[in-house]
Amino acid sequence: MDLFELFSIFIGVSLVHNFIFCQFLGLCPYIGVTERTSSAVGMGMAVIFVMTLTSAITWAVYEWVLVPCGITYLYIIAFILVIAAFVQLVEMFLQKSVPALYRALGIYLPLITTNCAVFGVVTLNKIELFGTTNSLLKCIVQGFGGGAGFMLAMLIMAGIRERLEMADVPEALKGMPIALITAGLTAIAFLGFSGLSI
Amino acid sequence: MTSVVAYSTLVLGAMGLALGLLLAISSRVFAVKLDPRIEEVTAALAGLNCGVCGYPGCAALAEAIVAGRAKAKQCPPGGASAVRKVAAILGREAVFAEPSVAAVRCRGGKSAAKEKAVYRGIRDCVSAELLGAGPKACVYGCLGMGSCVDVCPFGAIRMDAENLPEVIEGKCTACGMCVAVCPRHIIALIPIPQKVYVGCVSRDRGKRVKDVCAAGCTACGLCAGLKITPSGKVVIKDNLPEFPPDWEDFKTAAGKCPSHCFVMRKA
Repeated sequence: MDLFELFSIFIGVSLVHNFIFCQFLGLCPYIGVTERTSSAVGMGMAVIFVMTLTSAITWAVYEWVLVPCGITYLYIIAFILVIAAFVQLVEMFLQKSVPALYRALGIYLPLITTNCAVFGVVTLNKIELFGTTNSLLKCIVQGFGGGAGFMLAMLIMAGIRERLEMADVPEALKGMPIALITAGLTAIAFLGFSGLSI
Repeated sequence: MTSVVAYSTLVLGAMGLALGLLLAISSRVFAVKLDPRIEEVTAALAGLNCGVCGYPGCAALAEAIVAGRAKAKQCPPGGASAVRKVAAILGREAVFAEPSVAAVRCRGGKSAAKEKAVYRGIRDCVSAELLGAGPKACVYGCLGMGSCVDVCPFGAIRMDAENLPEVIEGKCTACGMCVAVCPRHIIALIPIPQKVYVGCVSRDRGKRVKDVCAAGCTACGLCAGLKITPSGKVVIKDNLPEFPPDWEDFKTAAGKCPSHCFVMRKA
């Protein structure tokens, strides 16, 4: 097994092709939940958790259900189904078994049910990784990396926005406009990673 | 062609059915028994999720109330009706909070109070207070940056023409957020029956007050000694007048004050 390959998948999906900054997926929580660092961390943790697990689950569904049945062209609808059901299941399980984690993730867990970044990572898995050697492990690494990149973007944005609260922003730009400008500038900065050859 | 459609519908339908069954079963297996009273209490509270009680949202307060860790009177927006409803649900004795309203005890606005400096920092009272005690010459008076306006969850405070906060009493729920945020402790909760309060918190007297503000209490003592109720009289304590609680006849005292420090509530 090639550790370097896993490492490059992780760096690739978390920094070079960061879901928020380079692929523009999952922008609603990025703008909506970044007003406080604490809620940004909560959302980020929930996304890491769900992305990692759904990467494994969708791999199993694809390899064990869709391929044998010969309906791989229906993977999008099947993945949506599986992700939604899985997040529900995890929510119930956590509420019963790990109430502390359930409370920490709070409202963010059910919100992820329809998060496009989660769907993005499993689609990328399907397009790039399915059928290669060790594809399950690679998918899990890609899911975790995607979540970590998402968390990084959320933290950066939340940190900046908490400082913006105290900044002297022109009246017309207060609130959402300055948040969008900040998001754009940060995304441009992140494009610097696209020069990494891994 | 038809068979492909039928086949894929069948497989996906079966998948959906299997997942649905799985969820149905697991909702039984992982069922968490919640006290049904929590939901009833949540419905009885104000439902604004304002956070005034110190809990994250009404549901969290309801949970604490049912567990006996909190009281319904901690929900000022809910008021007496919420307390009554919660007491009925839980079969406990109703404990009411005294109906109060916020009062701004400073009249040193733009025209009355002198400024000692020009402040160009963050428009926030706490920041201004930290930076050389703000721009106003009076160290007791309102800084006028409107932190109380920003913090009020009900929009019950606005800045008036004198750049002083003004409580809109119809909207005030006596939650106490403004009282907590004011770095100079100018805003206080006063009982609704009390129609008049002293509009100054300066502990200085005489010239030291007059030098910085035309509207301040100089502790001249003209109102002191007036027998305004059967039970007591006005006394000057810490250079501010103090009244017996059953104070009603304020007009005599208010008429004596040369600085017009006695503020009559509009409502």
